[in-house]
Parts: sequence; structure tokens; C-alpha cells
Amino acid sequence: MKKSHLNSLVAYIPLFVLVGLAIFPLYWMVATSLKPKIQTFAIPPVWVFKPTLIHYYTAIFEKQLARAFFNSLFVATLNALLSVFVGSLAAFSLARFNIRGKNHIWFWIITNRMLPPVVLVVPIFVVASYFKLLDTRLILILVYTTFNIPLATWIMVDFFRKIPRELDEAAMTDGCSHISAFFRIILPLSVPGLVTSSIFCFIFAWNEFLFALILTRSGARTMPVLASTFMTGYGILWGLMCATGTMIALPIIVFCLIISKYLVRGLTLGAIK
Amino acid sequence: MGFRSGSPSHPSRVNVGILLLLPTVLILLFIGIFPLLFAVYTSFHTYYLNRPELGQPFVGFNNYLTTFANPFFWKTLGVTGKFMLLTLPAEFLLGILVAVIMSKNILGGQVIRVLLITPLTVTPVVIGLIWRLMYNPQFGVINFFLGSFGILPIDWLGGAQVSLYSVAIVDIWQWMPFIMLICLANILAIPTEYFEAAVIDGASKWAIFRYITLPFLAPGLVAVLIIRTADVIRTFDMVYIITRGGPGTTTELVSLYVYRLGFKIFDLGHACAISILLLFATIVISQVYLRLFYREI
Repeated sequence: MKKSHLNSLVAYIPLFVLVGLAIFPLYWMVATSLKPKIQTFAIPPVWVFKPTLIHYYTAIFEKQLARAFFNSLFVATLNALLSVFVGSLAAFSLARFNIRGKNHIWFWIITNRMLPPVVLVVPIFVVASYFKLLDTRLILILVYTTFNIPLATWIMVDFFRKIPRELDEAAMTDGCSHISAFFRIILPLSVPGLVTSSIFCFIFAWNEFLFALILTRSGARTMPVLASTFMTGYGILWGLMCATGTMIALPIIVFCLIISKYLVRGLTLGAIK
Repeated sequence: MGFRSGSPSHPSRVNVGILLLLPTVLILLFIGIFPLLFAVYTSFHTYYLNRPELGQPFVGFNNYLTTFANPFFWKTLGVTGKFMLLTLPAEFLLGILVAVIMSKNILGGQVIRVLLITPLTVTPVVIGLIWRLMYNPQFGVINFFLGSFGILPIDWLGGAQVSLYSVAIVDIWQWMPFIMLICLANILAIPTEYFEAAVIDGASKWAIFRYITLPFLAPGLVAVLIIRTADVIRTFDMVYIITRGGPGTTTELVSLYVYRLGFKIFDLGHACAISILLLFATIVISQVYLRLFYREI
């Protein structure tokens, strides 16, 4: 790394502007969620105000926000666990074994990750309605695997490739089977990878909108969809929307700030030689 | 990178391997392939969800032909293409620029980096929401700030010409940090000797960037370019919330058009036809990516 201290303000100024631009919209949303309705669109904008929790109160007790929060949490957690578990198995297989057609399977997995959800949403809607799975949390957990399993596999394959093959072999000469070597030696070593992929799978499932919009009604509705319901034909309920938006975004932001190291690693995956 | 993954194909080894792959393959098969097959099937039939009495007559390639003849389809491709042209170069240029700045030893650099990444961590739906609030022509913060510089208020989301630019700005806001992150990681990985040698040889800052930094950045940039191109085709959430594709269809990206066809007009035949076309595009893009970066696994 080029070790030259940038003492001049010249570099700091654009950076501060950028940080300001990055953060301001979020601040604005949180502020709007705490402002009384009248002040939402006050001109000039109100910077100092007396915060009120009325929007959160209304959202939680009258608009099912608590339920939506639970749905999002439930679906995202279970899906992340499922995707990472299944994905790690697949990743280990791809990284270590020589199976015919392996490249085709890898190609198919990556393509799934890049697939626009729109392509799947129409047929999945019809199929789900046939199996009476509409408006259930289960269908969301299942459907989200289309992009999360490939993601988990992708991340774990890179991690497994970095673990020297000799370790498996050493374990197996001591009498372990493949599976046993996997669980006892490899898996503990790849905890950073498991953490990274779990985080990303959780985040993508938590943020997902289109499938949830189409496949749920009021029962299994997740928070992003709930937020969109506040855009009524009569006008937008900004306070409620911002409160919901804050509930959606804030846990993730805080979470990401805490694990930013893993986050950086996962985000730059595949783009660094 | 790139272990030679050949190991002696002992039958029991391969069996274990297949067993490990099986859950993934089965799940993706059922939830991924099966609906796709249904989409292919539907694309060859007429299927109006709101007119069950019409049945689902087979129509061959009719849906595809109609799609290519449909001016709305080309309009939406044009919007998507223009959107790509607006966002990708800007994201990349800004991302590289900021990465270069961030690669210097700055006090508080870690904190700044984490703060700069925040747009990436926010749910796209929420991003659409916030920017819709800020873009409000009469009461939004943005026009207020511009007004204090004497600039007249702009109808960001309602003006037919402006709307796509407004949406592009949001996309750039969201994704520039991603490119910055990749570039930063790549720049930091460049061995210092290169830079030291260049400084000794008296190279200018621009020469250093062009002949040392850029070549090291190139592979990562290509990877991200491919990924972001595939992402633009997938973009739905943020645009849906911020404009619903409006005003009219000026911000209707391909994914929004398919959504509207399938769930507002209920023309599933056409929606599936376009979906299959999108599928082909995705396959092409991912093939390019895989050929370049994952020659073998």
C-alpha cells in the first residue's frame, strides 16, 4: 500500500462530501419517521424537531408491522441456514471431487444466481397457487433458495479451494471418511466463509421484494412489501413508510457495521485475483 | 487460485461427491428448472390469467413474434439500454476515482470506508422510498437545496425526460461504493515495489495510474462489469417503488415490463416469452463471466 500521508485537505473535502451524500438519505428517512406528520414536508425542512413515536406505534399496532418483522426474520433466518448448509455441501463436492459434468453444474448454479427474478415469478406463482402454497412463509423460504444456494455455493467454493487438500488426506489416512473429514476438519476451518455466506444469504432474503409481493397477501407478508402498501391511491403515508423503512434497514446497517470486515471480503469475492 | 481438482476417480469418492451435490441439485431443479419449463411451455401458448374461459391454446412462436413486433417491447429495451449507459460508466469512473483516493493512507480511512459502503447495505425498496421522498418537486429536500443556489425546482420523477436520469442517479448512489470496494481491494493488493520504482523513475501521478494501477484493476473491473450488467436486467425493487415505471413508461425497465404484462395485463403467454428471452441473455452473460474467470472449477 502506498504509504504517503495525505495531509492536505484536498482529499478530505471530497471524501466528506461523499460520506455526507452516502449517509444523508438514511438520516432523512429516520428523521422523517420521527417527525410529526405536519413536519414531513415542511418548507424549509425542519432540522430540529421534537421526535414522536406515533408512526411506529401506528405501524406496529394498526398496520401489522410486528407481524411483518417476524415474517421477514423467520424467512430470512431459515432460508440462510438452509442455503448455507446445502450450498456448503455442494461447494465441497465441487471443490474436491472429480465428477463428470461438474463444470456444467457449476455453470448452471452461477446462472441461477444471475437470473432475473422476473423470469421465475410468473411460473412460480402459478405453481405455488396450484400447490396451495400462496401466502405462506414456506414458499418464500423455498423460493429464495434459487439465488441464495448459488450464492452460498459460490462463496464457499472459494473458501474450500484455499484449504489445502493435504488436510483432508491427512485426516483420511488417520481413518476418517470423506464426510467425517468434512465435518471435523474442513468445516471448522471455513467458519469465516460460513459466516460470510450466512450474512449475505440473510441480507438478500431480508431485502427481497418481488417474490414476496407476488406470492404473499396479508398472512406471510414481509416488511419490504408492507412498506410498499403505504403507497396508496390516495397518497403516500410517509411517516408509516419511513418507520417501516427504518425497521427494515436499520438492523441490517447496524449488523453490517459490526461485521464490516467479513462484508468487505464477501463483496469483493471473485473480483480479486 | 485454481487447484487442479482432479483426484483419482475412485468410485467411493465420486459417490460421496455426488451425494453432497444432490440436495442442491434437487432443490434448484425443483424450484429453478421446473418453473422455467413451465415458462417455456406457457410461452408457446396463449394464457390470460383473468380470462380462464379462453383456455390455453397452443400458438407456437406467436408470442415471440408478437413480442418482436411490439413497439412497447423495444421501448422498454431502449429504456434499459439507456439506463445501463447512464449508470455503468458513472459508477465505474466514480468508483475508481474514490478508490484511488481511499488507497492513500488517510486518518480515519477505515471509518470512512465503512460509511461509504452504507448505500450498499440498505434494502433497495427502502432506497426507492427515501429517494422518492427527497425527489418530491414541491416539498422535497433536493429541490430545497437546489433552490438555495437559485436553481428552479425540477420535477425529478414526474418529468418524462428527467425521470430516467433521476432513477439513474439513485442507482449510481447505491452501486458506486461496490465498485469502489472492489477497486480499493485490488489497488491495495498491488505490491509496493511497483510504486516505489515508478516514483524513483520520476513518473507522474497520471503515468503511475495508467501503467501500474489500471492494469492491476482491469480483471476486477471486467468481472464487476459483467456482474453489474446482469444486475441491471434484474433491477426491479428500487425502480418499482420510486416510479412504478412511470411517468408513462419512461422508466420501465425490462423487469418492470414483464411484471406489468404478467400481473397487470395478465398476459402470461407474452410475459413468459420475454422471460425466456431474458433467460437467454442471462445465460450469455454468465457464460462470458465463467469463461473469463472460472475456466475450471
